[in-house]
Amino acid sequence: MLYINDKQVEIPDELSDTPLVQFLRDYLDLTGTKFGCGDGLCGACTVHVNGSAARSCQLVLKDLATAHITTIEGLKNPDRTDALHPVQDAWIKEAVPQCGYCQPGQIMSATALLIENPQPTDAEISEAMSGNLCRCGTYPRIRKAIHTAAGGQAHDK
Amino acid sequence: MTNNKPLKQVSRRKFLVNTGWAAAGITLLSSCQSLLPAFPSTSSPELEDGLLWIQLMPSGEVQFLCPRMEMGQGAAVGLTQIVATELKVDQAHIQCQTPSTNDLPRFKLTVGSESIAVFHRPVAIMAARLREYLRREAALKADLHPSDLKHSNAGFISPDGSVISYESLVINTVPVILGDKDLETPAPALYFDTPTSDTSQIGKNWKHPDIQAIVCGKMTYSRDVKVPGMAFATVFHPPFFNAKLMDVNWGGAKDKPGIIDLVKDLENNLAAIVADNPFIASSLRNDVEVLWQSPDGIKNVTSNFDIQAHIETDDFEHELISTGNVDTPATDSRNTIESGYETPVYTHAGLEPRSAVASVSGTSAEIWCGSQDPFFVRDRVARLLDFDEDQVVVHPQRMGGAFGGRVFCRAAEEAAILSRKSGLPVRVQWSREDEFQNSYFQPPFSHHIKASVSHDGTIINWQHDFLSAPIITGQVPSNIAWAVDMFVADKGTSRGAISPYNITNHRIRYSDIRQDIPVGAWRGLGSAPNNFAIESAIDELAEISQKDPIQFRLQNLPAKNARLASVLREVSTLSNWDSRAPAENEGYGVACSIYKNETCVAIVAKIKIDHQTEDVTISDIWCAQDNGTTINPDLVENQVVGNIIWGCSITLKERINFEAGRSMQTNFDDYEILRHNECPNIHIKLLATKDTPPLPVGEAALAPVSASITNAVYAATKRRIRQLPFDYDVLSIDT
Ligand code: FES
Ligand code: FES
Repeated sequence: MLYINDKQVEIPDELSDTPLVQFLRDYLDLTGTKFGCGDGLCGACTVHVNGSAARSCQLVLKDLATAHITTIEGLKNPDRTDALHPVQDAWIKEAVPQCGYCQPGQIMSATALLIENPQPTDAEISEAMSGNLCRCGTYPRIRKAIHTAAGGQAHDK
Repeated sequence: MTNNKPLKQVSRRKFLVNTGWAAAGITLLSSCQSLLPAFPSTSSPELEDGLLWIQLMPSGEVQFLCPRMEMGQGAAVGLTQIVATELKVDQAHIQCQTPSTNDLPRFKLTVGSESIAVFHRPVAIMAARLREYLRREAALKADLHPSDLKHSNAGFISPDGSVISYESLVINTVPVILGDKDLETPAPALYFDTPTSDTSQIGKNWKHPDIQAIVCGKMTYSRDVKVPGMAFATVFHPPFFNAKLMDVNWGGAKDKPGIIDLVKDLENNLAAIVADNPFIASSLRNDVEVLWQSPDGIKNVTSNFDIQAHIETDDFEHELISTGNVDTPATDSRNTIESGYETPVYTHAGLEPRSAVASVSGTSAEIWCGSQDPFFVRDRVARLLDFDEDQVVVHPQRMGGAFGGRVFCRAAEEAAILSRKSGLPVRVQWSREDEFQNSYFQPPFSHHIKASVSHDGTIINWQHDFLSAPIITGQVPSNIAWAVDMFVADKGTSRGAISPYNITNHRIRYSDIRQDIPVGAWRGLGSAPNNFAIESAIDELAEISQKDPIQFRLQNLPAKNARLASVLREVSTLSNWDSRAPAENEGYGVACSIYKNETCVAIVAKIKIDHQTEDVTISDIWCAQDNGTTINPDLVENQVVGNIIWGCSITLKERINFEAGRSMQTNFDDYEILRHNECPNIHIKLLATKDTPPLPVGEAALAPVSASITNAVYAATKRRIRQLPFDYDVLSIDT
């Protein structure tokens, strides 16, 4: 049984070969997870599977068994129900998005990074975020926002 | 949104004149209008176009129907700040909406970084006119003269101190909208021209109102649109240029439950499966065999031009400049350079593959899609369906990147054809592979520059010849392309081709040679390829003159380009140019440009070469830009950074090659764009030039990026990079 944003979800048999990204978008109406390349190359479709970042275009439902999936819609502030996740707040504070299309994927990668490594260095950010393309060129602000969310100071490479 | 106001029609004649294509002799055809294709919306805004842009709602809030399309540039925010300034409202009391095509008269397509530069004034004027209209209404109400009233936040104050709010001026909950007769009053003074400190929003960093929706995954892009009862199409796109659909073998797809329609439309070159759910159609892709042919063969598909043959035969169609005597010899042949520079075919690679939903009935059509020109989408769909233009409404969606690549939307046209056939709303979503093969491209450029300098480092002559394809008219239908090509020198191809330097003996020639590759607008049009050639050659001249590259540029700039000289000096300071101390295998390079004769940019790049890992890294970029008045510094900085990263990307990574009429690159593994770990440290300085109006920003900083990087490579290695993209391997080949 699959859990998506803490809700149990039943998968119709005929969709067992469906990629997770399409299931989220077209079956559950969770369109915050974006489709960019369909080939694991751009990161627009990033979600958390059991707390780690994963490309939902590369996962088919039958392989997910009892996984816990979190999408951008399921990101929560750990302390308060009426506030955004601190990473989302940092994204607003630093005015990161341009077109915004890549940003849910960027935020899911960033939140997964901060779960593993609450105070990442610039190099660690670069490494963790390099699977997420942004054609508009928001990388410097993404780096800044991750530092902001981590509560630290941005510093040059 | 709907709004039943009758729309003003722009006459076909005026339209043609404004497109610039009239000069191409197309007006000859205007007597037989039905033969004319739909044209992009190229007319600049006129006074009466703006009557509906700004409305006072019954709540007292201002609604701004922004005549610009959002793709991440944030122009709507800047324009909203201007409206707010003229009307003295704060961000909480103004709503910016994206209009549908039946909400406003046709407005100019969103290209060329014009949204603020061209629209700030008309928008400010309309907001000020609404303000003065409201002042007159308030005066009537209070039985005073309008000049007795003081404008204050969202209202007026009468001499006795009582407040007349905007809200109180709304009668019977009908929004207040300007009418034609309000244009007869004299144009009011603009706060924009004499910014008063307390309520001016100019120069403030408003955030985009959609930012929270974006970071929460709640923003709707074309790909997220849902229309009740819609069907889901999988379209089989032409696998090579000029491919004609011949036949389809539906195989196992025929009897599958859920299939609504199997479409083989030879006239529209369209094969598709339409299904009642989104899951089956895509899974049937491999069961279907589609037969395409190229009856005319695939000719004229080139991934690069060879300029040598044209030089030998002196064969160039257009002359941009010809002054003095270009054959004036340098006194010493060591003071002459002769160089070739090339850039490849590029694609836009916006992160959102295009999508659309169309709902077509017998008498009307509705389209949901992202486009830089929703009226062009409307007109093209109308022609396709044999409808009048006012039978089609386009609801534009925020675009996941555009960069010139979404002037029209083929997905919308496909959806419209399929919707009419099935009688249901139909969704069409392109794959990434479709984007790579079936959109239009930036054409390749090939340059030849011959130039010389005097002993004191003054440029004596400059002969620049180049080849590429027509860009602005790249999408003109083939049946009239001959007429266009006969009369029009494509200004997109030559954008930025005139160098800013003082040159007495000067000749620039080019040919724009139409290809069978689909070509169209791409960020900055010709400005990046042209600047790469010019600023590389200037660097060569500085080198043979034994001058500092910045000093050489300053020395050769005419007085009229003093603003460019200022940004060069500024970037010199910003990057500590004069005290730069590159280590071994490091280098600094500079380049500059004036975008559209307006925005001045200078860039210094620092690169590092690692022989161990065989890598070239761009470690830092410093950029000084003078874009006149900055409405929203934060958003402008975002644009500058975006351009710099785009520029690094095309310099190191991007290239399309064609074989057998198709793009060999199909996804982000073989067409890579710059990734996070490759992004340099970027340092930006915007020059505050308050007395200059806002100038174009969205493409300006792109042009000089490539040459600044390759000039840095030269400084580090004495290797001149003549072809983009380049990588370490080029440097390791012995010359
Ligand atoms: S859509 Fe999954 S990585 Fe690009
Ligand atoms: S913000 Fe546009 S792709 Fe990242």
